[in-house]
Amino acid sequence: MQKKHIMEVVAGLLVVIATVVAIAGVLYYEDKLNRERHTVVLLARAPELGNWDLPEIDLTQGEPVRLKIRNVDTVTHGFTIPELGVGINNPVEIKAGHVAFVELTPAKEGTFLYACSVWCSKQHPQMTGKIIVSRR
Amino acid sequence: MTEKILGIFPVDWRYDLTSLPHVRKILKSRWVPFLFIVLNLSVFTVILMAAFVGGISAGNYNFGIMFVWIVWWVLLMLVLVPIFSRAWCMTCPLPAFGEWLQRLHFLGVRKKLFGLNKKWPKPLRNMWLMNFLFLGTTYTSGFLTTRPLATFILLMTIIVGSIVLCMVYERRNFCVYGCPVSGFQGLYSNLAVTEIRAKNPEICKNHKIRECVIGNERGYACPWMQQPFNMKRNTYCGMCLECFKTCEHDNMVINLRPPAVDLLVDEKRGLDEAWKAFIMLGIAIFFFLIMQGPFGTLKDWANAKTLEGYLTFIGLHSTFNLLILPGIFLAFAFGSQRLASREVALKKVFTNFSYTLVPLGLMAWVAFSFGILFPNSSYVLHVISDPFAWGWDLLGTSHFPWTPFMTGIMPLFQVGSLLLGLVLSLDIGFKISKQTFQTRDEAVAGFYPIAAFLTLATMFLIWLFTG
Repeated sequence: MQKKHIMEVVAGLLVVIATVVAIAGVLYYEDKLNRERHTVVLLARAPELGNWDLPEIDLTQGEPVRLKIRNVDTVTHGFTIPELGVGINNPVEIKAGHVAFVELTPAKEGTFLYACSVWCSKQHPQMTGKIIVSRR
Repeated sequence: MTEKILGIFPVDWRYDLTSLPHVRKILKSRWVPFLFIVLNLSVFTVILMAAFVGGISAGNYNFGIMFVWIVWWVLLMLVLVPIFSRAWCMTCPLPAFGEWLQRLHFLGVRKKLFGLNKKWPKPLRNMWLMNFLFLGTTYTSGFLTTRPLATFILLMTIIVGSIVLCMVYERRNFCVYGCPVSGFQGLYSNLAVTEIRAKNPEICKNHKIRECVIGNERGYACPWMQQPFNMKRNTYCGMCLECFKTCEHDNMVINLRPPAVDLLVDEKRGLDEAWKAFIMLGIAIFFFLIMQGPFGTLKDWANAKTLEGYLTFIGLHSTFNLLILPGIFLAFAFGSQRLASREVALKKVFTNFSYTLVPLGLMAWVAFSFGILFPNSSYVLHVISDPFAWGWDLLGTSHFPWTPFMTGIMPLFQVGSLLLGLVLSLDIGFKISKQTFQTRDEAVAGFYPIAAFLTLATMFLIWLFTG
């Protein structure tokens, strides 16, 4: 192979590293972090902008989980699961563009409501979702 | 006697920054600027990803918004354009895909470019298209600087647009005539203290095969369609360094020079560039009002809270930049012509003196950039630690709170830069006046109205930024 061909291949590899490998690396790292820490990702958006995503979260009784709540909205949101005591004594507030982590181990099975605990829009009362805890 | 800029720097003073053999060797290598572009591409990959996953969220904590509209914009206006001319264009990764596709190589030199290779339409070989595209882009400033997804869409539009234009038209017509941010960099780079020029014009004169124009096996014909051997202004030189590679006499150099000397080149001045100067000054004023001013209603209009408000904003913004500001300047140019000599066409007086707005305009942007830099740069510490707002903490700074700094003395920086702009504009203005009118007396008389305009504009800007 001539020198100029080798140079061309090296240059092409650098472009691939700067683009495809960079994107793949970022996604892999994020996925690895989420898997290692049993993370469920939750997007917080006012109801008129799509509401919570995930609307339903499936958990297993007694298994610790980390909720990663990304506020992708332009207003502050909150997070509470009243029946599981989350966000009651220590309110969870997530500023616009911020991320909050909530760690919990559901002690009982059942279906529980989770909601935004900060008045965020006219449709704030509808900003709710379900957590379904099933037996191990 | 040689004229001096600000009475200090002789206009024809130059220092060859590329005289060291190693520097020349680097600039002649085909790896340069390729490696800079690839490095920049990796940053833009992160910017695009962050802007995409950031969606419509508030932009303050988004890597894409922060790096495009705070870091890049401030660097461009404070450092890159005033010092390094169009060095950004040298390293810009956005049109790289189109260019690589044309060349079907990353580094290698091909005789014929892939694509239709059409000539750019003659009526568009000026800054008008870029004037309207940039003005049009600023209609969306309310979203671009706050909504990551809007920034993603803009950048992707530029990438896709450049690929399409590269496939239809020859070389980098997109960069020369179509990129929204190319025009102002071109005009303001006339002020820069660096330039790429032929070292010894005599060598070029005797060298009949213009390899910098037609290309050879070492490099491509000037992708910016310039005549590097005869270049007198930075306006359309993208600093791609192809002429360093093609020149068999090693006659291209990067010079250090006094500021603003290109503004004194009395050729190829045109209304397209005049309007670019008006539009840039007008946009600096509007951007300040929208982004840093206390006018909530205007912010709501720009953010399209209501359709009527948004249309009012577009109407006001366009009318002020395209008609009112040039109209006011025309009145002063008319006064200049009346006081100096009616034999000189009003169009010439108007066009020539419009270049006096370049130093003041750039310094207005510098002042505006201080207003971004001091209050907002602390966000950068957050976003480099958590670029995608996924809760990462790569550098341990993701919880660094918003911390404005030096905002108390920020007005001093702003006033200082505006006054520097005024002084440079006045200095250049009088020299342009001497070029425009035949006698010194006429030049002095004709310069009074322009000096009055520049002074009033500076006082208005100082009041606006610090009042």
